[in-house]
Amino acid sequence: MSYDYPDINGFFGEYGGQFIPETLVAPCQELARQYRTAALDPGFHQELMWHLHDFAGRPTPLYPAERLSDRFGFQIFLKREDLVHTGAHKLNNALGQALLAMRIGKTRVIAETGAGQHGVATATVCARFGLECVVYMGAKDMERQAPNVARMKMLGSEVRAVTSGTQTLKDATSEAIRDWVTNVHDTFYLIGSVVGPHPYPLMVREFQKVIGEETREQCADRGIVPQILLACVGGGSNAIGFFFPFIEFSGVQLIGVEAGGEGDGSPHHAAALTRGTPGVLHGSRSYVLQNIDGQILEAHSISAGLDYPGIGPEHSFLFDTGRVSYVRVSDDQALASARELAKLEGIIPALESAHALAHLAKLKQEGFTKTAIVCLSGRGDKDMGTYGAHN
Amino acid sequence: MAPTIDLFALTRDSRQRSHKLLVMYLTCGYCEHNWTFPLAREVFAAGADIIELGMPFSDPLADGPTIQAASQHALDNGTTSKEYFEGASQISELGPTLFMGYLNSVTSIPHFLERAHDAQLCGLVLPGGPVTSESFSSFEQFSARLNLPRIPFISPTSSQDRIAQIDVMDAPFIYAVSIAGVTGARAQLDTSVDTYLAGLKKSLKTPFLAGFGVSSPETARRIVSIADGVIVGSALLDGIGSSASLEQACKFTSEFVQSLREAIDEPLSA
Ligand SMILES: Cc1ncc(COP(=O)(O)O)c(C=O)c1O
Repeated sequence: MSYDYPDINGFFGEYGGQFIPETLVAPCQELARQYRTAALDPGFHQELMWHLHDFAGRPTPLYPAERLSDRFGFQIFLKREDLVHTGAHKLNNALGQALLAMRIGKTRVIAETGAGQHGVATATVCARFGLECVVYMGAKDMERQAPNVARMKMLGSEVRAVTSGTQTLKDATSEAIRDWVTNVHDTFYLIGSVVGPHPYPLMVREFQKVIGEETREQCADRGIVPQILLACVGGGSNAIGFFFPFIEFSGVQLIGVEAGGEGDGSPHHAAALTRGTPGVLHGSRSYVLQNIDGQILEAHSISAGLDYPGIGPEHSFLFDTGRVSYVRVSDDQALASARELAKLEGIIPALESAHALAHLAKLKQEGFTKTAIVCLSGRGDKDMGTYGAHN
Repeated sequence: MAPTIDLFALTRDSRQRSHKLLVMYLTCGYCEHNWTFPLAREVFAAGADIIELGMPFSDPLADGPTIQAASQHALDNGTTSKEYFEGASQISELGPTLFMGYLNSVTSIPHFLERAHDAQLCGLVLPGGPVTSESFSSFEQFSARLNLPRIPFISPTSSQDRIAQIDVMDAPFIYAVSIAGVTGARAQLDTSVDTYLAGLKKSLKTPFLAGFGVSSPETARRIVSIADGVIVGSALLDGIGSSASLEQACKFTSEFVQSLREAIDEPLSA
C-alpha cells in the first residue's frame, strides 16, 4: 500500500487545498515551488540536519519508562521531544521554515502561537538567524502562558496581543494571516502546525517527520516492535511527524488524542475531529467546530496548545479512512496523568503531551499487553501555573 | 416579487453607457437587526447601483478592524442565516443585491445556494477564496446552474497568466483588490494603484470594479477614471457605527453615498 498525499493542489482526499484571499494565491504558489526545490536540494537537508543536531540537540532519546510500564502492565517508551532545545517539538519545524525563509530572501517572520511553544521556537530561530520576528498571541493565552511571553521578548521578538474574538489561538492565527496578506512582499508566515493553506500542511509534516524517522531507527536498532503509537493532537504536527513514517506499517496502530476538555457531556472541548464536522478555516478544508450557520465555535482545553477549533487536513483524511484512530481525554485526566509521570519518572510533561499519556489507562482497561510509544511532545515548565492552580 | 436582476446585462450596459458603478457594502444586522433594511433603502435612494450584503462570519480573514468589529457586533446581536436571507430578499426588491461573506457559510448553511437564489440575490462575493475553481469545482458548477455567479478577485500580486485565466471565467465583473491587504478605510491610496488599475484596463475584457481602502469621494473618482466602478464598505460602516441612532445613521448614509455618487458622475474633463 503506497501513501502519496497530498496531491499537486494540496488535497488529502477532500481535505486541504488553498482557500485564501487572491493576494495570497501567487505567494502560496511561489512558496510551494520554492519548497519543492529546497526539498530536492541535498545542501538544504544537510544544513537543516546540522542545525537539528548541533542547535536543537537531536536525536532525542527513545526512553523506556520502566516505572510507568510497571504501573500499567505493558511496555511503554517515551519519544523525548521535551528534550529538544526550547522544550518542544515545535523547533524542528521552526528551523526548517526559517531556513526556507532565508533561502527565499524574506527578512521578516510572523507566527501565531497558543501555548507559546511555537512562538518561542520561532523567536529562537529568528534570533539565531538575525530575522525580524512578530508573534501573534491571544490575550487570554498570554495570561495563562506568561513564562513563554517573557522568553519570546528576551529573544528579541515582538509579541502582539490579539484581543478579537475568543482571544486564543484561532484569533491569533487569523490575525497572523491578515498581517501576511498586508506584508506579503517581505514577510514569511511561519505556521506552527500542519494547518493553513497548501503547502503548509505538507511542509510542516516533512519538517516534523524526523520524530517518527528517528523512532523507527531507534526501534530497529534495539529490536523494539511497537504495536501502538500515541500522540496528542492540537493542529496535529507532533502527531503527524511521529505517525507519518509508520503509516504504511499496517501492524502499528496509530492513535491521536484530542482534547476532550470538560468531558463528553459538556460543550466545552477542542475535539475538532471526533466532535466536529467538515468546514473551511484558515485556508484549508478540514474538520472544525462550528454551529449550523458555519460560525466557528470557541474551543476549550485546559491546554493552550490544544485549544483550537480546527485540525490539520491530513488528520481529517486519516480519520475518514480509519488509518489513524482518534480518541478524547478530558482536562482532569490530562492533569492526573501529568502528575503521575512526574512522580513515577521524574519528568514533568507539557499539558498537551499529558493528553497522550492519559490514554494509557484506557489501553490497560482494554487489556493491552504489548509495547506502546508515546510522543512526549513537550516539557511542562510553561504549565506550572496551571498545575499549581489545580492541586 | 421582482425578477432576479441579470448582473451580466447590468455591467455590460453600464459600460456601454459609460455609467460608472457604485457598490456599497453593508454588514447584515449592523448595528441592529432593524437597521439593515432602512440603511439599504438610503443607499439605493442616494444613488448606489448595487448593494453587497455582508454575512457576518466569526473569522473574516480578508477583513480589517472595521468589518471584523461590525461582524462580531452583528453576531453578538443574534444575527443568523435567517436574517441574511430575510434581509437579502427585502433588499433585492430595492435593487441588485449580492452576498459578501466567507465560504464556510456557503458550504455549511443548509441549502445555501437555493435559498440565496430564492432571495433574488444576483451574485456571491467571497473575499477569502477560493478564487478560481481549481479547489472547488463542484460548488462552482452548482452556483452557475442556479444563476448565482461568483465574483472573482484580482489583486496586485496576481500574475499576468492568472489575470488572463480569470478574465475568461465568464463573470459579470471582476473585483479588483486595490491594495495587497485587508479591507478597511485608508485616508489615501498610493499612486501605484492607478498604474495597477490602468494595467488591468489594458488586459481585461471583463468589466472590473475596484475596492478595499476607498474612503473618500476623491479616491472613488480617481478609481472610476480607470475602472468600471468602485466598491466602498468600511468607510460607510465607520460612519454608521459612530451614529447614535438609526435616524443619524440614515442621514450619514444618505449624505455619504450621495457624495460618492456625485464625485463619480462628475464629467471627466472637469
Ligand atoms: C508541547 C506541545 N505539544 C503539542 C502541541 C500541539 O500542537 P500539534 O498538534 O501541532 O503538535 C503544542 C502546541 O502548542 C505543544 O506546545
